[in-house]
Amino acid sequence: MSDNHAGTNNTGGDTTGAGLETRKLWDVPTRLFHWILAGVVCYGWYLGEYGPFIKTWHFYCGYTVGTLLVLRIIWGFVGAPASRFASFTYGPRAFLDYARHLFKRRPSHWPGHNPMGGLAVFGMLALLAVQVLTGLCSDDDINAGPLVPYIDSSLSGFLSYVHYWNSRLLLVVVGLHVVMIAFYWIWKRENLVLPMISGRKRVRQSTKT
Amino acid sequence: MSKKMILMSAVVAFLVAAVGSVFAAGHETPESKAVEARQGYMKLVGASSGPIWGLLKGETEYSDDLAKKIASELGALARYPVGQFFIKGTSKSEMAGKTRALMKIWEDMGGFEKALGDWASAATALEAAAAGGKDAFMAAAGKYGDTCGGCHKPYRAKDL
Ligand code: HEC
Ligand code: HEM
Repeated sequence: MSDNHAGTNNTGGDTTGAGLETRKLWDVPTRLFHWILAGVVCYGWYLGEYGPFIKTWHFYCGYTVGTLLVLRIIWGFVGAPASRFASFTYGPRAFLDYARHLFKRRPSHWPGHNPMGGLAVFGMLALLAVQVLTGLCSDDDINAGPLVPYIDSSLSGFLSYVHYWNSRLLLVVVGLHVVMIAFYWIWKRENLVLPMISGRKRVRQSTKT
Repeated sequence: MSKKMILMSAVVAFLVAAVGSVFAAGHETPESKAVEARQGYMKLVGASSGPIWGLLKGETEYSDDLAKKIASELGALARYPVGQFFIKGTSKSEMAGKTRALMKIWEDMGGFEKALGDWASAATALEAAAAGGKDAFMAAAGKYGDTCGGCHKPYRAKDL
């Protein structure tokens, strides 16, 4: 991995005050993606669970999420350093290192996604992809996804079943994501929300020139 | 054994297996008949309700004739006692791969019968609403649609 990928050239530990800088970390497309996705997933989840029995708006939410996922995957290869998948793909050593520093009561100043955060990103993108793809094949005898006419009805029954249980799984993983951010805020005294809004974060100085 | 004997026994074995499998597959029991009957009934409910979803999604143009047609079909279905096909021993736990009816139906027969009653009264209410014009019918159609989930969510599995 080249060192222009934020997050790959650090030691994995939390830093003391030395060598910090405030710089732009999350680019505009990544921030837009994040907040639109969060809103549309919440609304789509709500509509699926409690919405009217005509699921037209649930479908629109799902298509929006699918489109956002495609854009994010492209951005994972061409976006700003901290948004690239390669910058938050870590080996086992980095995870161990990260775990050792996790409960230290000081900000991580991590320049991008840390190993667990990176894993959460991959996890949420994968679960959402499963959610959208199974949704396209789901059928409740009132609403049918656009692929239902092309597949066997027992397969569509199975995929509706997956659509249901994967939505519970998604709730758990999104919940963990939020809990970890609260943990960083309260325990580690590091606000991760603001950087996802402004794009700017206080991080350790990158070694690149 | 002669070649002929071997051939004969092979043919007999094949016939026994074939006849056996036909009997096994086509073997009707009171339970399998009840499941098929209620599934057939639900297919009719689904087919006759289809135009309602079309109206609610705005895909179909409303007309009094269409409303009356839908209402008379669903009214007839609602008066048919489908409850008789939910006999004991026909849950998904007992007949996996054949039915989506959950055991919960028999554990909570009161709740199931209430869901069935809610559906039936919403269906018969369509008949009166069909005489009252578009707004009345659409309002009744919205209430009617809610009653499917009122039963499917608690009492029906997503897959066979
Ligand atoms: C009182 C309960 C109840 C209500 C109300 C109800 N259903 Fe069902 N429905 C079931 C059950 C139980 C099954 C599964 C039957 C089985 O597999 O044995 C089912 C299955 C179905 C099926 C699949 C039939 C098949 O096997 O192919 C359709 C279609 C269906 N329902 C449509 C509807 C619609 C549309 C409504 C509302 C207008 C509705 N149902 C209201 C209980 C109900
Ligand atoms: C962000 C992505 C999505 C999320 C979070 C989501 C979530 C949900 C939830 C929570 C339910 C309720 C399940 C239940 O309680 O029975 C549901 C049902 C459903 N969804 Fe989605 N969904 C998504 C995408 C889609 C897409 C893209 C489609 C199709 C175009 C779709 C079609 C359906 C259908 C047909 C149902 C009813 C299925 C059933 O009840 O068996 N969904 N969804």
